[in-house]
Amino acid sequence: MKKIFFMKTSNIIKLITCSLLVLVIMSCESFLDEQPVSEIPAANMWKTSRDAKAGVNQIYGLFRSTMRENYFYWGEFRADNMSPGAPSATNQERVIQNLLTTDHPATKWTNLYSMINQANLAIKYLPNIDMPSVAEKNDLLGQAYAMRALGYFYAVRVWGDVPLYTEPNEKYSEDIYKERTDKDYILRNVVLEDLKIAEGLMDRVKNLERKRISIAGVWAIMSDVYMWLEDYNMADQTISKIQNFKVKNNTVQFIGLEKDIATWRKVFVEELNGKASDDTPENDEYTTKELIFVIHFSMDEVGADGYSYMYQWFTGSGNRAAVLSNKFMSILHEDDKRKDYIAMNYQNGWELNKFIGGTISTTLNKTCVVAYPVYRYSDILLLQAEARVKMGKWEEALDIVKQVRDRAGLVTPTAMEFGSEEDIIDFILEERQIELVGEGRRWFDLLRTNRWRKVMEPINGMTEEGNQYFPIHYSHINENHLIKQNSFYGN
Amino acid sequence: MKMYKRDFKVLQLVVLFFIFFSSPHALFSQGSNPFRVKGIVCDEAGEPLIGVSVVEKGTLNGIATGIDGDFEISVSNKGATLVISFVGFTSQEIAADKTNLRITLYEDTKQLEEVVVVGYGTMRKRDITGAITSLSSDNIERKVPTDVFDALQGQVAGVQIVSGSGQPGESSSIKIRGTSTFSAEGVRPLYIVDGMPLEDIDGINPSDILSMEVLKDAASAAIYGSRSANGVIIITTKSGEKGKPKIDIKYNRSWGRLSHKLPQANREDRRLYDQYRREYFLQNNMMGNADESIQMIRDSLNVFFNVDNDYLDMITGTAQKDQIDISFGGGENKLTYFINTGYYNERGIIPNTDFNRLTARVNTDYSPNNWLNVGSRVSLTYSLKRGINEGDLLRWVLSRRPYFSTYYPDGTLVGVFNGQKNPLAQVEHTTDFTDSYKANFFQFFEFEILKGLKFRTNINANFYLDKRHRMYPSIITDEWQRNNSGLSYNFLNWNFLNENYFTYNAKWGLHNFSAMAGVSAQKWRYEREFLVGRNSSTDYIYTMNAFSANLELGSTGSWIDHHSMASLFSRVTYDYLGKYLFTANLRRDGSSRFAKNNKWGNFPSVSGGWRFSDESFLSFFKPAMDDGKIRVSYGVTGNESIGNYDYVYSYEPSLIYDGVGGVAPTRIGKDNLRWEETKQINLGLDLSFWNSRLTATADYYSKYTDGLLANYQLPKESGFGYMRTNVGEMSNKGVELSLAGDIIRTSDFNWNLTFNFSHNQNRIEKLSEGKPYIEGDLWWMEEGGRVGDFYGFKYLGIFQYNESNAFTEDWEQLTPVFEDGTFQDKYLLNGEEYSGTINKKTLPNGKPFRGGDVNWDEPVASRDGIIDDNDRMVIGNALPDFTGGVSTQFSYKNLSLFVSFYYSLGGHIYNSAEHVRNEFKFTGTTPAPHVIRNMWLKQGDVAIYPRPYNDDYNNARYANSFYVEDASFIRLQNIRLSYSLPKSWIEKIHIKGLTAYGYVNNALTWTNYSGFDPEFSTSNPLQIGKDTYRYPRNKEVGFGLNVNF
Repeated sequence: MKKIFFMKTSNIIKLITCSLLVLVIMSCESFLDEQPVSEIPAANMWKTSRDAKAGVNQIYGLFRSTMRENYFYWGEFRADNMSPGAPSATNQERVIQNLLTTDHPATKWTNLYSMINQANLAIKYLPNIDMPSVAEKNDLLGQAYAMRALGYFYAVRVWGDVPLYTEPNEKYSEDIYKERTDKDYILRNVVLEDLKIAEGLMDRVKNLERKRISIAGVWAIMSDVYMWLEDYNMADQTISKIQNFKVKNNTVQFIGLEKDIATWRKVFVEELNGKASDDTPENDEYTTKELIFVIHFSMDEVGADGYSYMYQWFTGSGNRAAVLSNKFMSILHEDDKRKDYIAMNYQNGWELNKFIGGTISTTLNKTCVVAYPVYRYSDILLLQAEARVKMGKWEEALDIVKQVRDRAGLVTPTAMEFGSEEDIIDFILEERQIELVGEGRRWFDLLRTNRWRKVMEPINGMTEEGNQYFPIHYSHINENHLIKQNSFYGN
Repeated sequence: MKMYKRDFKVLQLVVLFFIFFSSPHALFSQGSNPFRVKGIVCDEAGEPLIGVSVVEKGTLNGIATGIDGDFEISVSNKGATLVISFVGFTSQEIAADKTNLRITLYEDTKQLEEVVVVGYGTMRKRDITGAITSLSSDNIERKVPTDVFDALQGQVAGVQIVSGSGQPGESSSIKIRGTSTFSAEGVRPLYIVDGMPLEDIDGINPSDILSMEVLKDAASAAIYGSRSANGVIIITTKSGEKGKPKIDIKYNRSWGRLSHKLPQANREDRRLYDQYRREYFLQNNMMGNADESIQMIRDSLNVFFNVDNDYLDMITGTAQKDQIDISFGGGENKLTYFINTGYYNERGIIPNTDFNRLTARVNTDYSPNNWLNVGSRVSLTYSLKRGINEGDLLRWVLSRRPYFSTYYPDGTLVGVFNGQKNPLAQVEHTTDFTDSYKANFFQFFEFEILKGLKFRTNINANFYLDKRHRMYPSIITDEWQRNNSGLSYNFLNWNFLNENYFTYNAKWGLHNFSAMAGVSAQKWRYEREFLVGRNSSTDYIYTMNAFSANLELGSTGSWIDHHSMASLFSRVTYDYLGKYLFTANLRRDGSSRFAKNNKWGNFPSVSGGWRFSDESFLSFFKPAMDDGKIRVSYGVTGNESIGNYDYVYSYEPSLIYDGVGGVAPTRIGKDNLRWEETKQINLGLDLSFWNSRLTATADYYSKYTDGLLANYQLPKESGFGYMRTNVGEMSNKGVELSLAGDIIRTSDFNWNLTFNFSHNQNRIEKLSEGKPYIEGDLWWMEEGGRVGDFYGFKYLGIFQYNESNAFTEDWEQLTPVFEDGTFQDKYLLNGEEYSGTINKKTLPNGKPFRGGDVNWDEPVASRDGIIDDNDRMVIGNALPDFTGGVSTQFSYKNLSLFVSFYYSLGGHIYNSAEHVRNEFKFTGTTPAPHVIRNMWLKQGDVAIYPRPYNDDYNNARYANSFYVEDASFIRLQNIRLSYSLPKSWIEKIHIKGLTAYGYVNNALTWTNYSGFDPEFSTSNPLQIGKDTYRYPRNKEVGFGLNVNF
């Protein structure tokens, strides 16, 4: 009995010992080697045209996240277009009233720099991807350069000097901590240079995008940048490129002015609203020609909390973030055909109706998919007018302004009626203010032409040097001690 | 004799100290006819016993037996009684009537058999060398717990359990010996249930538990290596006993009411606030809108603005709990079984929140022959939790205007009105429930190969599936009732484990030796599936078919993760006579969560014990102290609780734009991510007096954690939010003490008292980047600081006048002189007129603070009068100084009363919810009533709260020391009165035992904290003590019945 038992157990021991040895010696290392299933190991990324497209597309997704609120905070509410809309809209009111503190959401650059890093990744890896179409590859690379330029362009206009990264951050090291770089350096050596590279890379035949960057988008940003750099000649030349750009075998003008006020309305109310998503760059799904680059919204893509603010922030007395200011309403001429399209009086406030086109049920607020126009032809055209003034070509400038004013049913004064360059620039800026209201441009105009003090001091007391920049969110300074706060907000 | 006298003094101190417990013996007596006795003490086998105490009864005259079990003692007179006692043996009394005595002591099987479950085996409780606390089923059941954490709370020194919230089915958080990790996932201890390492013990029915062991020090826990840095809790479930089947039926039921209400503004308060704000805006011509509430002020007869709601009253009702367990246990020669089925049903104080749990367990053990043992443990749990978004609900409960109607005139519920949600509608219309399925299978085979040598194989598989359905219908989502939202979430955790190990026990003479060695391998698979939709065509259907046309593409998807671990482990123990004890463990763990060169970690530990009470030279202690042991241990434990792929630099699908899914880096690449290691030293002392009438355990520990794994905030300009990394080093030092005494121990009346106490000192020793940082906007992480340091602005008061913002050069505040409300251009300092320079506190842009603004303090080092982000400082700390519990039980015949308290003293809470409701940021938010009556409205107001409008002076700055509150509390947690019916009564109806009891849980809390409850759990160990208001807790009254057949 005992003997049997021993034999049995020794067999069992053998079996188990073997299995143990196998487990321990042979398979441990592979047993512990778990590769991600729902992630792509970095070595497998940036290999195919699919990767290239996905990688570049992410830049736009991040740009939309960046701009969803900041489109208005940065470019619109800081200026004289808007007054507080409802008592519940505190954050907006703080921007409008110049009550910014370092905990304001508009002072965070988190999303903006995620976008810049994504662009840096694309710029680093796209050149090595073996893609069937070199033109497509170059086009994607060009878009990445242009978006990086646009990202930094916003950054320097909002904060002044900002930290500069032209290589992607991939691995943690001390190098990710950087000081702020001079804004003019960034503007000249990064923003402008990137745009020049992009200009050379863009596919001018198959990229007829307006929801993404096309060659026209590159030129639009570039002309804006030249205006900032006060290089009016180059700005004018760049704008001419847009004007001369034809597609479909040089037969069709891609970007142009819609001369009819009804079409002007259509651009905002129909063309921006609910464009279907599509992934065919050669297909221009727009029937009007004014839009150069817009931020696209689709509820399927953004989720319940990612809707466009074009409705919610501008309608309903209890919720609206802002209404048109008295100052704005005072410059809006009675005869201006745009007036009824821009402003609608509702419960003691002039609501910005440009993107809505009538009364709208507040029930649609959180499903709003009205795109944000970043660059539009009227904007570029009026920049050209400004450039021509600076170049001493007043008549030409006014001819350009006239195109916009004619559409609005307004008479355009002649050069004789202006006493100085400043007067005529003021005139053009006022035209821009009306034409581009709600498009996130006014504050940057005041900043670019150094009129922010003159215009804003009577309204909200903005006068001190340094106040023209936004504060940097306190968390950014906590996380990187090399970053110094803008002087107006701390030290 | 002289020597004894000196020692007597020492003993006298001990006796005085525990005079409460002293026995009614005369302490010593003087004999007149000394009589000398010699003798030998042996065990049953005739082996001499060394160190046995031989004491003359009623005196302190005593001695211990020598190496041959021999003794010689002089007693006061012939025939005096000798008491012979030895731990593990039944004491004997014998008359000293002969000069030569031969005494045989019999083993006290009960005492000797008291074993403690340790990793991969058991040990005799008296041989333990680590810091282990053991709880029996009696300790557990008398608390009438709903889950394991309830059972543990306040019972174990060094274990801090914070129950979640009052929401039914909410999990508790547990911390053993302070925070020793930085990561949320790694803060939990490891749970070992019948040998199965489990991540989640919410499904364990407390009435299944036979015993629970808390392994606190490294030496005890290190056998579990990498997952043991936060301690190990070993749970052993009940098994059947041989003999007649036993049937136990347990039932209890309770009712609960909200235990603490918060002051809330009523209609009058809110109207006052509306008026005040309007007047403030009109007078100050401020940027705010004076007409913001004009409709409510003017139209005061409108029925819609004319109710007076007490929302807390409206949403809370009576909670109910039912718990029933039926168990069968029994066995024959070769087979034992235990079957328990339990059902638990809880309805919360807020309607529509409840928790149901059905548990079933089958434990069987079978030994077909003398060399094989086979056992199975199968447990199945199903639970259903219906909940509510407590944060959102309480936000509206506290802030909605109290005069807003909750119903329309036609009787329908108001949804969102004026931007404010109706709490009644939220409660009524939320659908949010989670079905959880848990199954644990465990099978073991144990072979006895040779005498003393065993081999054991464990096979274990665990299956967890959570299915959550959530739907917020349009009435509660937004004003426009358009955007309903739906969510379906499935989470599957499937893991299996195989362990194989040998154990060997040997006894050579007085030397006991044991060894254990084995391997284990475990693999996990996690699957997550999310379906998220919004704006479906119907509010009626909560399942996701309703949302198929409106799925949120960016949130919908499925994910799979894997994780694996392999380990080698071993242990040796040695003891000599149970007097000198030694244990050593070594575990080598490999985890898939680290890069190739960092996969493996070694976790050794050693511990030793000395039972000094058995030493012959200390035998004079024996009459009072029956056992005394010193324990010393050192060990290294680890933590790998991070994401499954945190070391991998990878990309993942991200945002969708214009029909194309983007791909972005998942995380920044990080080299050298490695194990978190905790080195711990433990010194312990176990004492037992007067036949275990008083027992004391004291421990001192010092833990040092290196390579703390946590999320480290990256500069956002890098393009990344944070990374998982080894952020630093931290130490925890502490003491623990537990005392248990039977104050009265008679056959009819017993009274015992247990007390435990622990103190832990935490210190952040090193941060890998060297730089301090802010964790989660509130907590300051700095070398030399402590976890839980709140960081913010220090509130000094409210400026009474604009002119009150006047300070000396040393920033001492001046008092402006006013006459008839006119400033006299004079300042006083300590009653004297001040003529020096006058400094003002300003914003960075130079604007001076005004009357009604908060007077913020500045750290001494940066006192420049400019209040900016650099002026934040540490304003409090969340960690308690002392925690512990006291419990006592009286029993008289069949009646017994159990009362238990637990306490947490010291530490602070950041009352964030209170801060948020008193910010004056949003018109709709209703501040607390005392705020409305104490805010600054005009020059000269002496106020506690600032101007009723938050502008660029930002009086609502976060964090504000004003909202730091004392977190100390003492809670009378349980009162339980039970009565067992006399056997003679119940035998007639064939019942073996019947106990009926009534109880009160959460009976009383003594605290200065103003929020709902000073106790609330947080999942992130670094983000502690911030109260955003949780589901309020209830006071519970109930009764129960236990019947045994």
